[in-house]
Amino acid sequence: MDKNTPVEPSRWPHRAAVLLCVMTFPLLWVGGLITSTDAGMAVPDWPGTYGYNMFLYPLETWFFGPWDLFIEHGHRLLASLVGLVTIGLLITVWRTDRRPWMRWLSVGLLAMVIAQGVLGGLRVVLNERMLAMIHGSFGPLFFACTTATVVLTARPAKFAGNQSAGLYRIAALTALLTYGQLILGAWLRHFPETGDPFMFALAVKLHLSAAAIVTIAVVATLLSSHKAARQGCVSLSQRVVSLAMGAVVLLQVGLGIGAWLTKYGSPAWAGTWLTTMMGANQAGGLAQTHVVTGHSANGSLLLGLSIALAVSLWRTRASVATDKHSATHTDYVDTSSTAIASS
Amino acid sequence: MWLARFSSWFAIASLLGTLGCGIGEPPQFAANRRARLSAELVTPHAEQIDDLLREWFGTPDAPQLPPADGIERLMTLDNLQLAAGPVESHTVGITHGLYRRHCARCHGVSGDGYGPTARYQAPYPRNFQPGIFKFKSSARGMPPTEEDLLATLQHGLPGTAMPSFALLTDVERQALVQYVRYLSIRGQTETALINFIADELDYDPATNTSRDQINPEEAISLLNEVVDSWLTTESLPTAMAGDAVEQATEAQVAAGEALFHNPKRANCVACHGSAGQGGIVLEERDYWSQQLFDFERATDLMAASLATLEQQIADTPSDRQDVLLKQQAWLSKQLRARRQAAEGSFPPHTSQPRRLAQGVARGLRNRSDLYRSLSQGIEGSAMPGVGEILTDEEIDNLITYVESIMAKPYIDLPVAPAAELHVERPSDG
Repeated sequence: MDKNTPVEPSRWPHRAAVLLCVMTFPLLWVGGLITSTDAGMAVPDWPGTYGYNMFLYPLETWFFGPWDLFIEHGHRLLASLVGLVTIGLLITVWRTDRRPWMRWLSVGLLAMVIAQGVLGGLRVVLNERMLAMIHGSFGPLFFACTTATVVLTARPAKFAGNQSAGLYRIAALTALLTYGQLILGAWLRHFPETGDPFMFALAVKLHLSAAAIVTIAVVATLLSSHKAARQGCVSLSQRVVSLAMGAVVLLQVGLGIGAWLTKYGSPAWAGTWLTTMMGANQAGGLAQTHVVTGHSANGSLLLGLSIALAVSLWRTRASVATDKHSATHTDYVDTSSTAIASS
Repeated sequence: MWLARFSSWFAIASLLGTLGCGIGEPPQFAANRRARLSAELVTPHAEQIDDLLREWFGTPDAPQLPPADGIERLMTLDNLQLAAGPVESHTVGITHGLYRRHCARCHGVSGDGYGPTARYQAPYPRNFQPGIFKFKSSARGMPPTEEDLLATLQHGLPGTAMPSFALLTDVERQALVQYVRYLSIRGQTETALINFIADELDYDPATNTSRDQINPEEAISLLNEVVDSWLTTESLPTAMAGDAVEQATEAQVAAGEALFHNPKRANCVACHGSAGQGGIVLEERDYWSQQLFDFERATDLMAASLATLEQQIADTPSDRQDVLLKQQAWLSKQLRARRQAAEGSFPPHTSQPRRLAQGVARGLRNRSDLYRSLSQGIEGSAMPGVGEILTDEEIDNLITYVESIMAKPYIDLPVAPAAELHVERPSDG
């Protein structure tokens, strides 16, 4: 079949991409929970679990055993499922999508998920916190790629206006800044017990500064999106995604403050009123573990949304440009890009 | 096959990167640099102390029971091994490395309060090495009891970063308590050895030489002395019942308030404010900050001496400068080392007495705790005792008044009794 010939697009790659994206987010949450509860070494071996084949580990011990084993083994099983869905996506893309770069993107996703699995395994086998940090930074990148895949396998936004180049650049910059911020967060989360307090203090300052910069970038994205919407230069789904980014960054600031307070109490400069009013946190309790995990997962969500917006804007700009040069561009599968906003 | 090859390459690359960065090397206990520098310890003595401590206590990954009389009543090797080392699990439900999992990020691997996250905490996490703890039931000058440490772990310290570890098992909490004792005893022993050498032995810091070394029997007796204080410590009897007073009379509250404000009696107002609102910054420091402050002040004095000496050298003919130049070289070296040690410490804080009005009382969990803290003060802090000034009845009234202005004076949870030292637990294979 000639690759320029219009075909009736298949919806399966998009469905697989949405499924992958929707499954990856809870995987990030569970992974974050492992870091929050320091459960990474609850299982000493890999790829097996206490000598068992991972998939044959007794359900009873998994479900009714200790919490850290439950969460670590569950993370492994969920990750395996995500790996299978990635293979499914690759098959559907290679069978129905003739865009070469899309096919290689699906191969890239599989390579990423395998690398991430190996990283996680080596973290356990070598009991190395540095690898846990790399594993924790690579996961959000994979999630961001799944959101990009959702957009790229969806129907392009249908509207006739010119896309705002400024909005595209700001969205792409926001994605880049957010990822940098995620790496700083991972550094803080996986800071070694033997590390220098002044290095940790530096990491805190960098993380706080980057938080301010990312917040400014998201506000700029919102304003630019608002301006573009008034000029009819963005689709509804792109507008929804940019609004979602604003909501997520607002939540993220609150979760960040909560993460510090539930972990380290109020800092000295916060004055005596907060210090004296706070009760003792509970180590490993619901608040301490879920607030910080939520902060970490919400950061990944911001990355995913900003990548999705940037890719969506790039794609629409590209297709508008192609239309203008009277080229056909229907050799890929179309559905709706609004799925990303809801996922 | 290709997956296995990829994994191998990745493992090798990661390992090389890790080794290159120095990460993954087993941690060591940090020496008490400030105490050693203050005593102007020479290298042979410092090495002897290091050897003795390693021989008696092992390393953070492989702790040993120190060879002191009765040590088995304070800790077991099984519990130390459960608490020490890296976080890992070899049997379902048994996690090793509890200290590094739950404590080391704040208190440091050596228990010196110099953990990576400690810098921004207020107050700084406790330095276990001097063996001084604020919230305890024992007499001033004595270490805390096992129950005291267990209670702090169980309930945490409200108003500070110290969380409650109520979700850990009894075995885990007890292993941590024993490991904290181990770190304290190790730190106190190091200080005792340093002080003994400084007071009793002959050495020349200028030439970095010593004429004699510490005798093994003397060293063991110093260790025994430290351990003995932990073995003999006990809760002080208290005149107060543990529970809060259900209905205090107005007269009791008024009497307590009068004592609170009386500058010749309790005089609480001087530090805690007229309405117990706190916010008063004292010139005094707590024990830990005072140590840091004294060290910094001594370093400044040394710097001033060096400047004077340099002036003296400039005014002295060159053929008579030999002795002065040697002295200058030694002082410069000492000063460099002291400044390095000071840079590796947190800035000392002055004391900020607790806000009582609508506040929480950190580690004071019941009326008995309040009685002890009022009666004999809070060890390590600027809080003095009024036990010799007030009668028990007056202290009772004072407690009643303090209770009336505090938001949550007590945690109404029973303090878990200390479990047996040899707790049954699944075998770790």
